Amino acid sequence: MTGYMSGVLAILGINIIFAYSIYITAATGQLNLGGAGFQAIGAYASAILSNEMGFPIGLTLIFASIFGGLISFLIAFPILRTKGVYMVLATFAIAEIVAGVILNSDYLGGPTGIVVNDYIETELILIVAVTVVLFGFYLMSTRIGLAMRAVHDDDAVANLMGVNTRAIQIGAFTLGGAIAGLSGGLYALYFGFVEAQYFNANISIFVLLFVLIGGTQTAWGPLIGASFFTLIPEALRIGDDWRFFIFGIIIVGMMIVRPEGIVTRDALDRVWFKILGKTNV
Amino acid sequence: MSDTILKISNVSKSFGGVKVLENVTFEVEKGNRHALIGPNGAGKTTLFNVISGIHEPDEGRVFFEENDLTQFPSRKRIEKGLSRSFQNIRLMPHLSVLENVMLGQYSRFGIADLLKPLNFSIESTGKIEATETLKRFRIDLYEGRTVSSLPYGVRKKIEVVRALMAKPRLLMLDEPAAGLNTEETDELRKFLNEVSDSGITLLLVDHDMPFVNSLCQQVSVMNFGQLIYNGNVPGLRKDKKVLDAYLGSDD
Repeated sequence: MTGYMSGVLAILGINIIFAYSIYITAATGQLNLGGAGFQAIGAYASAILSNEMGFPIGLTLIFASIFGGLISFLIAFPILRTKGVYMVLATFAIAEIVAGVILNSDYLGGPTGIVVNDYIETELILIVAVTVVLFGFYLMSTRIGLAMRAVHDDDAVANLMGVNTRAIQIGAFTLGGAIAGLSGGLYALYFGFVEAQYFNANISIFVLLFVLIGGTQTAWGPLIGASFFTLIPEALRIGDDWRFFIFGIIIVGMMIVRPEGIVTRDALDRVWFKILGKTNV
Repeated sequence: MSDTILKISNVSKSFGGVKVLENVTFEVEKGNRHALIGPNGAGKTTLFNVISGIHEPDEGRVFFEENDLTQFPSRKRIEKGLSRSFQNIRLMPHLSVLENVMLGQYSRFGIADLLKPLNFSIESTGKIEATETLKRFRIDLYEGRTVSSLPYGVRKKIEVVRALMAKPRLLMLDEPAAGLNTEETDELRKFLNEVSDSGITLLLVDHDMPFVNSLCQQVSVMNFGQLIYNGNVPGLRKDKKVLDAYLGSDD
């Protein structure tokens, strides 16, 4: 495997994990535009735990997730009081606060960032990515997953059906934060350097686009969306200067042709029908 | 056997300055098919919402079997044994028919069952039960499809099946026959008779009088938030207050 290929695969793995973090919240109908903030929390937690406390890699990553999850859990209560576009803005603001805190903290390296001593190989990222994808599919196939999708469609009726809608929303937001933290931890350990400027609004917008373009109706969405977004710009490198222009056109085109995302339930049903001769429900 | 399953006791509810329910009191007997009728805006749906917990009553209590329902949040009431359908169909548009119906079973499962995968497990009793119920009510044809594309009558039926999947002892239906053609209404009546025969008490709101006449044994009539009649169907036609409410009084 060339260095370039290995680098692309590492980024792909991190992006896929990151996409599932946003997807799990989006599946319950909550849009999180603060992805970068939660990823930054995991990345900085890993950097500190690894450098200062000498944690082994496995433990560092576990704590990066716990830290991301814990902070998400705490802010879930005020955040989930908001809805729709207000929630999008509130999560966006959270990411800005996280970046602001890091930039102003000497302990966290301020604007110069932190060099991370430990490092991981691409293979580990891919193993974690596969695990997260499988977990996403598992979760969405359970009754909890069904309840999450029900909350997305009509939370009042879901509540009358006995679903604890608040617990589902807070749980999904917390889990999303934990997975974002995990992706941040992997990022820090792979690139060996973290700086606040990397975890900016662009990152948050892109990861939300991964999910929305991929489709929020099934667990395939974030996988397809993150792969599409990571690999297409690489494939377009031949076009050089024009690649982002072409990429932009492709995104707009996708939104017109498939406003509900690349993978929708109806599309999947048609595929299953062709393969199995019956629908997969 | 005339036990009371549901007791509405002095329930009042206002929205702003508008009194939508005023001291409503009546009982639903166990095993009965009970209709709640009245002109538009009489407060029938509001009463349904108070019973199911969407609205808290300003005054009064709602007793279901031995429980005071007003002590329980709305999501806990389905566990107590009552479930409902909605006047405007409220199915989950992105879920398949089978998934919508399985959502109705949610309250019956503990966390261990909630975490079991539905799609990959070889045998899931909930799924088998849902499939069989759809078959029993002749809507299995659609089970894998998302509901938004289905005909109105089918969706109306799915809502009833979803409510049934909670295994309620009281099934509350808000205008189940509205918008159905004669054939579909006949089929719904047959279907509800089957439900009733299995021991489930029915409380339904409807405007279709022939439908109510042929299905229900007991009727409560509401007008302007007040209960004006509570009794059997034949008595309804002779009651002066009811006639006035529907036909207008002389003065």
